[in-house]
Amino acid sequence: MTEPDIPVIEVRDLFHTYLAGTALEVDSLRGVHLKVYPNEAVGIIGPTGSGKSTLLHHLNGLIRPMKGDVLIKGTSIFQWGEHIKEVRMKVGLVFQNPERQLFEQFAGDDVAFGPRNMGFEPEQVRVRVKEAMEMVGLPFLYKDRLTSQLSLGEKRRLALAGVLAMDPQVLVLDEPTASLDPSGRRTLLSILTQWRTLGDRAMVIASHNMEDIVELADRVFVLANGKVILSSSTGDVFSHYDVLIQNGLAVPAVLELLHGLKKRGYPVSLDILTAQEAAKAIKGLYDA
Amino acid sequence: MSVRTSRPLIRISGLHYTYQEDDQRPIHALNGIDLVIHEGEYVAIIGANGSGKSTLLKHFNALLLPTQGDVVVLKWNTRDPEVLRNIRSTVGMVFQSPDTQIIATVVEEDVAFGPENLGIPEEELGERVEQALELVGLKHLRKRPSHMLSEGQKQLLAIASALSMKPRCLAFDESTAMLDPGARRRFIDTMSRLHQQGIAIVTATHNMDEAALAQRVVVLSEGIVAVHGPPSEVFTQKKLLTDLKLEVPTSMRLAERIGTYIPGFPQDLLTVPELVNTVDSYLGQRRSSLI
Amino acid sequence: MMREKSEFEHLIKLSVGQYIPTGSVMHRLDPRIKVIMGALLVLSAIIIGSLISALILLAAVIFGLSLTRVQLKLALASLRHMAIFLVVLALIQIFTIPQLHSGASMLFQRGILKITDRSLISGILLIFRFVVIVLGLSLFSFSTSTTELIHSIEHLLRPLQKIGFPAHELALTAHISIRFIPILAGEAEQLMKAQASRGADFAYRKWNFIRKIRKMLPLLVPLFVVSLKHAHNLIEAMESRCYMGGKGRTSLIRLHAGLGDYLTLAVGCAVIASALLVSFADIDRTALEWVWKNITILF
Repeated sequence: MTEPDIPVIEVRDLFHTYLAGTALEVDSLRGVHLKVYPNEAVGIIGPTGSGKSTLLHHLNGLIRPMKGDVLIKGTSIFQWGEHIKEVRMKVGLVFQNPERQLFEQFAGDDVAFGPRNMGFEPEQVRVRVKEAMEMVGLPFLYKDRLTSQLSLGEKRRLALAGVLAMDPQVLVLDEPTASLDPSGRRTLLSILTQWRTLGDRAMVIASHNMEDIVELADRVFVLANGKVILSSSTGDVFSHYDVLIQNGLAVPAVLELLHGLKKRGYPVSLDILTAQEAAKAIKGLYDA
Repeated sequence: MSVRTSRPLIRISGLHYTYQEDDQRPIHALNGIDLVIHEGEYVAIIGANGSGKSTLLKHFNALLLPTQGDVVVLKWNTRDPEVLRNIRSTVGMVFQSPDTQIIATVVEEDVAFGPENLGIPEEELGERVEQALELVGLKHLRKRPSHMLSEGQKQLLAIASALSMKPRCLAFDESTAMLDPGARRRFIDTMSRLHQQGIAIVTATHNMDEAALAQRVVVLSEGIVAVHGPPSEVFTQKKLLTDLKLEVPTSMRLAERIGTYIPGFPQDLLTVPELVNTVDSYLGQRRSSLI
Repeated sequence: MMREKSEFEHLIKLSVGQYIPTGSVMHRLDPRIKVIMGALLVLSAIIIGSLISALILLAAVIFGLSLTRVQLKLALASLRHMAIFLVVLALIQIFTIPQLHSGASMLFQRGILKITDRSLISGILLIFRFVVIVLGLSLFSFSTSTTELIHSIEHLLRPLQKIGFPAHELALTAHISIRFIPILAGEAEQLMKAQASRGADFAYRKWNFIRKIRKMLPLLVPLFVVSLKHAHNLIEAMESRCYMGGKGRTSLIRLHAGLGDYLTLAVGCAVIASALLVSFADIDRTALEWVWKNITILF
């Protein structure tokens, strides 16, 4: 591919003040720049209060920039006007708490919410619901189950299915594995990895769970105090141990291990992300 | 302190719990649990979602009563309505959601809520509030409106509000599930500190790194105890844990990888600092053996 | 350029009261005194029939506001919203209320529009009444948190607990309601955002009230479900801390009224009493005539 890609999402110099004009006003975003290209997965990490969620809510037009701009497929968010609905179909946002994203009594109806709002015929809606549920590993006959009866892991997957049923080009996820038990987490991660293989799909993940970021993201943006302080490939970002710790961020366990060894004088590279590679590196030290 | 010589605090025998919602089928949440929590012990209860962790925990302070079997706190049976106050002031509980366990609009008033209910004399109330806030490190936020706290601070407030009743045991129902890593670390440090003061800690969690810090780990599966023992014993039973859809602490996963390259590398390492130390000493030994 | 707000940024602003802690003298006053005086102020503002009384009350309220050390413009802000409404009401009073026209001297007449001195005073008085009440309530809410308010009402009602009146239970209900308003508003916002993200349309460009309500309906059931869950969690938390009703409870917060508080109460009551006296003495007309006479002498 010789043509430079147009970012599917571009954030330019974004400013946002929370509770503007009141006594509690707080600058949550202070000039954020970021680009997401087709087919890539981008991670956004940052301490609590860095503005991660606020940033995500700009990506599908739920919040408008106070200054700066957000461009979806090259078009400014301000130009969509009444067609903002289309943006929300293209950029599917999955929120942190599954229980605040399920509104229908029956599971199937909930997944159908999006496609129905898109104006599809009942038969098309049904097809979309079925495919979406299969993609998240929920049997189609769950459609008649009460949403309240589902387990937390199932609710998370149902909420994801509801967004996937709109067939978005970009999937934006806010803490996708929060509160899930280990098996639930593994299931979710594999669903997301599989979704990417559908082609021409991009993903944005905001998470506190560094292991998730390592597993899913190609590139990472580090958000602190309302600004992007670091943006690079996943491996490179996590090699900046000191910067991350200083800004109140957690680091993947592998990095903790390697950093601990480095501090004791061992010549280890911090550019390593997987347990396998770390073990190999330690073996290398052992043999030396 | 040896766990075996400590007095039993909570004794659970033959605990069954079944419930039914409207016209749904009955759900057998707990199917025969025998368990003893001793004074001053630090116990983690782990299990997949739906294994019965929360349900079990709520029996400790009589929020739920057994369908069959008994739960006895010190000398009081949870079925006896006359001793509810005794039981609930002996076993305090901290829940998962920061917002919905704070009752009062001001921090100190929330901490006072429990002792107020017990009719603690007014002169003593102020003291209890101060001590409890001191123990969790929130003394400086005493007069703050309770909604103006970070999530982590809210959870610490919940601990203080349970502490002010001077319990012998604190039960934590997935209390760190909604916290970011920094807040979670602070919370766990507080738990350890309270344990050092002699308060028994029982924590239901699905964070294996957290569970690795306990003295004893109890693994639940489908309402029964699958296995229990010190974390180094429980977490080395890899096959069992995988069958139960659980993982091992991160440090052990790393140790396992290292073990495939360096045969004989210890596998029962429960924290990353421990792992670092072990790698360090291994490499050091290797070096000295080569010299 | 005015930034176009998205549909979601309004709910956050929902929080009860305008408590602005400045640590002033007014803030430190026993809240029960403030409650009592606030109630008396509102009552007297309604009863008085004299402009001079209104001026006395207004002066007292403005003095009170200055004591709070809160910027006057914040207090006046609430009046700004009501300004047009007030003027219209006053004009109606002035021009059209027939009863006030009997036995009064006509000042102006054109067709059916009549202004008498009585109706003029009555119209102006209406504006004053509103201003006094609104400023008085601002004074109260700037200097008293809702928590203090609830505590003082509970304390005032406590003697009734002996005859079985559930003062504490009501107070607790009030505290919890206050606590949960911003929480539920936040939940509603989350639900709206989640629904909008899947194509639901909450933007109200056309001023259509019915449509606005209909758009909110899909939120009601989920919000209700969420609230029930919160209530359940709260009950567990309260039971775990041995809540068993108001009987036998002690209280960390004890309101102590000192000499300064009682003196303030006495002065406040005196001011209100004088306003009432002036009103009953009905000296408006004579006072106005006196002022008129002296002003004409000056020119």
